[in-house]
Amino acid sequence: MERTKAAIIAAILVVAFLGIGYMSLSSSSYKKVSELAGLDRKSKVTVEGTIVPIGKGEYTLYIDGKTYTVDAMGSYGVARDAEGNVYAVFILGDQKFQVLAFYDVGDNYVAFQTGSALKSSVVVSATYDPNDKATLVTPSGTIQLPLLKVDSILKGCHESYKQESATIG
Amino acid sequence: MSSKRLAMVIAAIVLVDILYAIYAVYKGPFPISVELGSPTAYLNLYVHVPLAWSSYLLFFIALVLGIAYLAKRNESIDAYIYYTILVGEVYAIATTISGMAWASESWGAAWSWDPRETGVLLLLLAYLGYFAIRNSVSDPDKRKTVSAAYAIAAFTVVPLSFAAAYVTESLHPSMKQTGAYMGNIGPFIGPRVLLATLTAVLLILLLRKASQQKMPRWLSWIAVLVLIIGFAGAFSITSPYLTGNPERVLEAGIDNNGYIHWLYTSTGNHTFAQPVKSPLNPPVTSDGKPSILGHQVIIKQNTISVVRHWSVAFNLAAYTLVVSGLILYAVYTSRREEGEEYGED
Repeated sequence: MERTKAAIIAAILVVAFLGIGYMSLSSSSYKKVSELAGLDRKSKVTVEGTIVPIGKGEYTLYIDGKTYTVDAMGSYGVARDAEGNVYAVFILGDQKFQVLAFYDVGDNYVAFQTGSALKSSVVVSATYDPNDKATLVTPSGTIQLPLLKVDSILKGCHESYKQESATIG
Repeated sequence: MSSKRLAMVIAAIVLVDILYAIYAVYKGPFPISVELGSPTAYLNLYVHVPLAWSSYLLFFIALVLGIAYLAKRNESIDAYIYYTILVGEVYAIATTISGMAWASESWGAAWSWDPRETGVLLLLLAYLGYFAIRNSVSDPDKRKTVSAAYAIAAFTVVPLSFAAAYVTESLHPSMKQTGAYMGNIGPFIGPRVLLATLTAVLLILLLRKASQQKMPRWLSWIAVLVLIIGFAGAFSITSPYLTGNPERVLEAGIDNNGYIHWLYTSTGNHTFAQPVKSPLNPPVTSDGKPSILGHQVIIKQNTISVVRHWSVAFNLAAYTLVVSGLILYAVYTSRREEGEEYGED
């Protein structure tokens, strides 16, 4: 009898763990950029997206009434404000929905100078407010996009495992 | 097996395990170029992955023992469930901490709510519940039955945590993605996984034996020796951080013979009057890029030394602490004046 009870308890717990597990994993998977379009309030998000090339040249960026000069380097640009602070600027998304990602590069400034700091896709931890907009003025026209304020650029290690090996010495 | 013989086997295996872990992080290969951070952070493969696989295996053993207990009602099986989950939980905590240290370099953040990170966190909490449930039931028979049932049910979280990298977008790679690379590093990762698993299983046997018999005092000195060896290995990795200021290599000029002519690092330009032989083997990738890119180096008087990332030392020290700590705990509990049954308040 007690054995049956134990089996019932185990079965109930299995269902409970499956439910909790499913909820946790589905809530922790990364959002697609297009899912940001469905957010109607300010949210902390982890987003995976494809980088849309922004071309090369000198652009101007307007965010919250501030002006930035942007040195566009293909997949991203390096933006500077009047005080000399440096930011990385890149567009994430697809044909349907795009956002302008804005990232304070801080001590990583040197890495972003090279023009090859970001690959074709990234995962970013960011704050998204549907009311925030960025305006990018390029020689070929003006683009207004929702703003994604990036806290950190996260990267996976999938590509690293496709590499050959090295050793020290 | 007598307590003395078991102690001798554990002493031998644990010493070999720690020495091999040090050998692996010193001599083991790592990806020649990586997406973020220092390629040497991938030396954590030899500490983090064996810990993770061992904890998964221990939780599987706990599942099998849980079923066996409900079928046979044998007290000894209940004791083994308790110690298997205890060691599994400690290993899972070490897996999480070691993963965070590695991720801080290779993913850009120590914690990203990555699906598998979340899965492992859930796994930790689920198995912590085992101890809470066990201590909340006062009737000994009921306690054993309920906790065995819980050990079976909690295993549900293990495949969920493992599958997280497959069914959702994850920073963790899948086995398919790492498969080919694991083949490259087989002679290092294979023995490490085997030794870490063997150590974990022996720790369970030790803890069980220690709940019944006194363990020889010299085993605690072996634990201290293991701790000293592991910490010495870790200290040796971190010493360049104490004696110099590691710089990150951003660009490099290297010739066809593998000699570096200049480096552009996080602190500025370095041009070498006498070209310096690359400290890495091979010096360039198959597409001709210098393999030193992304590494942390110390440049002194026309020499370039590659610094292994601090997370490798941290994780090596943490693993040593886990193993020696569990041995010391077993010896201490076995030699206490007043006995204490396993898994009681």
